[in-house]
Amino acid sequence: MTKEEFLKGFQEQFDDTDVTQISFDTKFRELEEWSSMMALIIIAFIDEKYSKTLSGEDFKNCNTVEDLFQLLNNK
Amino acid sequence: MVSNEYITKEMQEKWFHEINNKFNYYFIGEYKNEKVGVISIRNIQDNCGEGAIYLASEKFEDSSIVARMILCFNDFVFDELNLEFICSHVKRDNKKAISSTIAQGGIVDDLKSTSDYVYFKISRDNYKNKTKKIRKILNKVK
Repeated sequence: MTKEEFLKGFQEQFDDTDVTQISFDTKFRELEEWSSMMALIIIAFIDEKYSKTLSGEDFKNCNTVEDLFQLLNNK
Repeated sequence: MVSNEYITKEMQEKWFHEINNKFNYYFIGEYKNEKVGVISIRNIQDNCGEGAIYLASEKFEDSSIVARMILCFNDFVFDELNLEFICSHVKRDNKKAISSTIAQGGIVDDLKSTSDYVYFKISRDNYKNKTKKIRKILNKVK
């Protein structure tokens, strides 16, 4: 898994948010489109694409896309 | 909410009596003895009702509890009440609610939308298809 692939996959989960608004530094909870459903869609994307299931607690501790990527790498 | 007018206790009690029938269903979601919010379907007619959710606190916005609450309720609407559609008016600037409705399978009806509100319709089939992945992950995530 490359970092760029992860970012692209993350961006693709959003319907309305311009991809240029989402980088590794983005605090994803601050995106206008973010919701409890989006959180699950991201967890589902990671589960499906990388076969790694994040717990609610794991997810809570991540603020940026970079945090998620690092968490995924360390799992 | 569409209306923010002040109401008295009597007005609220009268309203409770008016909606206490088979055309309206209101539930309070609770998690670990804390109220999460109210979820409802009202004005049921022609196999369709108007859905809405109000959260008790912003802290639940990012919580999977809300997603579980929505899915449980929608299952009740489609599988127990046997409705074909849930419709909703969502404020155009409420991106979180719009995103959540799309994630439930909501399709925009441009003809019924206005400059202030987006009108969504969620069909049973769309809902079941669109929430497949979310359901799968909810069974894994604690």
